[in-house]
Formats: sequence, structure tokens, C-alpha cells
Amino acid sequence: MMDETKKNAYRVLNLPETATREEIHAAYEKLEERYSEIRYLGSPLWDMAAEKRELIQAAYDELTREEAPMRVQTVQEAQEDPEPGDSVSRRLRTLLNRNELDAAQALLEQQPNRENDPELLYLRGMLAWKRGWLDEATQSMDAALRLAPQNQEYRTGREKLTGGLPPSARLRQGIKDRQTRGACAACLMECLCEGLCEAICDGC
Amino acid sequence: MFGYVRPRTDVLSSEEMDAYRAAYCGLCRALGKQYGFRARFLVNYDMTFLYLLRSGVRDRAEAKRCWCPARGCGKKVCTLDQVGFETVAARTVILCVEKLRDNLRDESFFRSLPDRFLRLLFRRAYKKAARRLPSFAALTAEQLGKLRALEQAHSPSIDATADAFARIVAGCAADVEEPALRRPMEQVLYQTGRFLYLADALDDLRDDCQNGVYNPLRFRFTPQNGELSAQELDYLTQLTDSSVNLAGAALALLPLRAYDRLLENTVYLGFPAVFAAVRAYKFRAKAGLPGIGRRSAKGGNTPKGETE
Repeated sequence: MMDETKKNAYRVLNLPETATREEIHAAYEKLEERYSEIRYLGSPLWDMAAEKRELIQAAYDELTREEAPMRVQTVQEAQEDPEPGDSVSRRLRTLLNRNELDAAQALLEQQPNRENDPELLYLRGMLAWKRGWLDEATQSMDAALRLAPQNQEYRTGREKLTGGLPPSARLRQGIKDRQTRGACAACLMECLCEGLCEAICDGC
Repeated sequence: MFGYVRPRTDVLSSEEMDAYRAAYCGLCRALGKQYGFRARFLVNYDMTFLYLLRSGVRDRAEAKRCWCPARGCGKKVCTLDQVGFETVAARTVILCVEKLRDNLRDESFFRSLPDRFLRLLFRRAYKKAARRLPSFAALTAEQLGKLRALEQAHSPSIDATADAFARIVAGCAADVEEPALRRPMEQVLYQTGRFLYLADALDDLRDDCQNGVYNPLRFRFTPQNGELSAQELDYLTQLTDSSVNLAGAALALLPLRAYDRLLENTVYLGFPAVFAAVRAYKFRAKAGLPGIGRRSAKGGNTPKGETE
């Protein structure tokens, strides 16, 4: 008799309870890719994706426990409260790590040198990126790099500015493969709300 | 509203195409039932997408053949989902009438006469919809006010202007109670709104440059004769691609039980194809783009930047 934990694990991986090890591994890889960390860069939903990844990991570990040891779960970074005595940069970074974007924005706007300090420009770019404002993020980070071209952190941050990486070629192909061409799909679309559907389709 | 949010029909199965048509006709029918016959003219692709997204987390509603006024005596298959269509129809009316109201402020009295007439025509429908969704009507008016202030200040920030519009679109999921559903839906809609705004800005750029009307791209970039350089267009494509990716990532977090292929198609294939058409100045002409708009008599030309 299969216990409830195992049944749940199969459910999480969208598999029947008769799935083979190969199928389990394939399903795990597919879901890992679907919710991969890199796809949620710059997305406010990164926390939901992280929860999903943990669920998938736990389900996979449960179903493959006999042959592989349990993986160590990712430990979230300790999130300290910003102290008033901390430097502005450190307080901003803490607020950004905690996704408190409005508080970070307010603190940034209080800084008189925010237009010519590369660190503040970089953090303004990070803030804009977290909001999904890619244009402003690009401009701020470019300005930070002009003032401090040797800074490796700024350079890496600028290179990451993609607003969520596109799904890999495999995932994109999967989406396309799931769609199959209909007999007269193009003409059906064309005649939406024109009341001439049958007349046009007859000629397909 | 704009018609930019649509699936690529040339790679859609006939079954999914039927489901899309049924949802579109279902929205038209719901508008007619709730707000009178004239409200049927407000039906559009963008709000059909909203219905598909909101109802995708439930089982697919039943469909049956209903009378279609566009066909005279003929009938079409319509999705029957009274609860699902109720709020989508109200939002359709609010958005369309607020857009008309916003247009009136930009134009002279005589040029705005058609819009004034249309607004009068939908006045009662708007009042009814605003009574049903007062917070959404208030949000729309507030964000359009912000957008107007940015326009009057000739803001060069395409992020700030797109944000004001995207917040209205994201507000279409604000009443979803469960946070695990609301947050991804709001993000899909926010990115859709951002995409819509940027695509519309590019589509209108030539006209706006000629007429001296505000367009964020005029102030952010340096258009020559109403056209952006290839480099500027590439950059703008990167911005819209980012919206596609973020919307797609948010969509993956929704436990979709219906319309998943249609929604994926619209986000991953429809958005890039529409933007490529806009970029190539072919969207309005609807000329020969695969699965977008009307078919050209000359046959399909793949525009520059089209992603396959």
C-alpha cells in the first residue's frame, strides 16, 4: 500500500503512480526548467517560484530516496533589519533583498547625490529592475558603469538585465509542439464577428 | 480596445480555435445581455484574453449555439459562463468608456464629436458597470489621471507611462481572493498592459510625430520622420520581450485547468508576432502576417524580427 506522502509526490510531478524511474527523472527535469531560478530574475513572483521548486525537489527526493540521498534544501539568506546607523548603501541593499521596494525608493529619493554616486545609481537600477522597469534600470546601470567602469558587480548586474530570461529552446519548442495546425484556423480567426464564417470556410 | 492581445491562429488546433471563438462570442453575448445591444460593439480580443486567464483556473464552462446578430438569423457557438463573464463585461465597458473620456480631453470640440456621441451612447452602461465594480472604475480614472499628468509634463520615461496603464490592466484581477492565483494573474496582466502600451506607442508614433501629439517614444528616442532607427527598434523589442518572458513565467505559476494552450500561444507566440507586425508597420494594414490579422492577397511575408 502506497503512503500518502508518495501519492502527493506523484501528484506534484504530474505523474501516475505507476511511473518508472526514467519518467520520474524526466518529469523532474521538465518542471525544474519550468520554474528555474533564472526565469524569475526580476520578477516579483520569485518567492512563489522558489516555493514551487522546493515542492518539486521534495517530491523528487521522496520518489528517488532509495537510490539517492536526500538533497540539502537551500537555506534562505538571513534577512537582517536595517539599522539606522548603517550606510545608505547597506540599508538600501537590505530593503531590496527584502523586496520592500517603496521603502527603498523613499530612501533613495532622500539622497542628494543620487545622480552622481555610482553605487546609488546601481542600486536605483536594481530597484527599477525589481519593479520590471527595464528601460530605467538599463539607463541607471549604464550611468553607474560610466562612473565606475571597473566595478565587476555593476558589470554583472548590467549583464543580468533581461527582465526574466526567455524559456529555453526546448521549453519554447514544447509550447509550439502542443499547438497543431487546424484545418481552417486562419480563416476562422479572420471572420470572427463578421458573420461570414461558413461562407469563407467553404472555400478553404 | 487595441486588439494587440491575440493568439497566433496558424499554429492553433481547430479545437482550441473553436474554444477561442466560443469565448469571444460568449463575451459579446454577455455584453448584450447585461448592458444592452449596443454594448456588443465593445467586444474585443484583449478582453477575451482576460476572460481566458481568469476562467483558466476553473473547469471549462459549457458552450452552446446562440443567436448571433452579426449573422442575422444564424447561430454561433458561445461559452455560457454567467459568473465568469459578468466582471469581464463590466470591465470592458468601464475601460472603453474611460478611454473615450480620456480621448475627449486631448481633442478640440469638433474633432471630439464622434467620441462625445459614443460616450453618450454608453453612458447608462457605464453607470451600471461602475456600480458593479466601483473600485475598478476609481482605479481606472486615477491611473488615467496619472497618465495624463505624465503626458502633459512630456515625460520621457516609457517605464512610468507604461506603468500607469499596466496598473489598470493588472487591476482586472484585483478581486481574485486567493493570493496564490491573484499574484500571478496580476503579474500576467501587468506585463500584458506594459506590452500593450509599448506596442500602441510604436504603432501610433508616425501619426503622433506628424500631429505633434505626445508619445513617450518621441521624447525617449530620436525618431526621424516618425520612425525609429534599427538600433532603437531592437532595444524596444528587448523591452517587450522582457514583458513576454515575465508574463510567461507568471503564467507557469497558475494551476491552469482550461485554455492553457490558448494562453501560452497568446503570450509566447502572439505577443512577439504582433510586435513584429507593428515594428514592420504592417499591423494596421494587416498584410500577410502568419496568424495575425487578415491574410494578404499577395501571400505571407514574415516581417523583420519575427520570432519563430
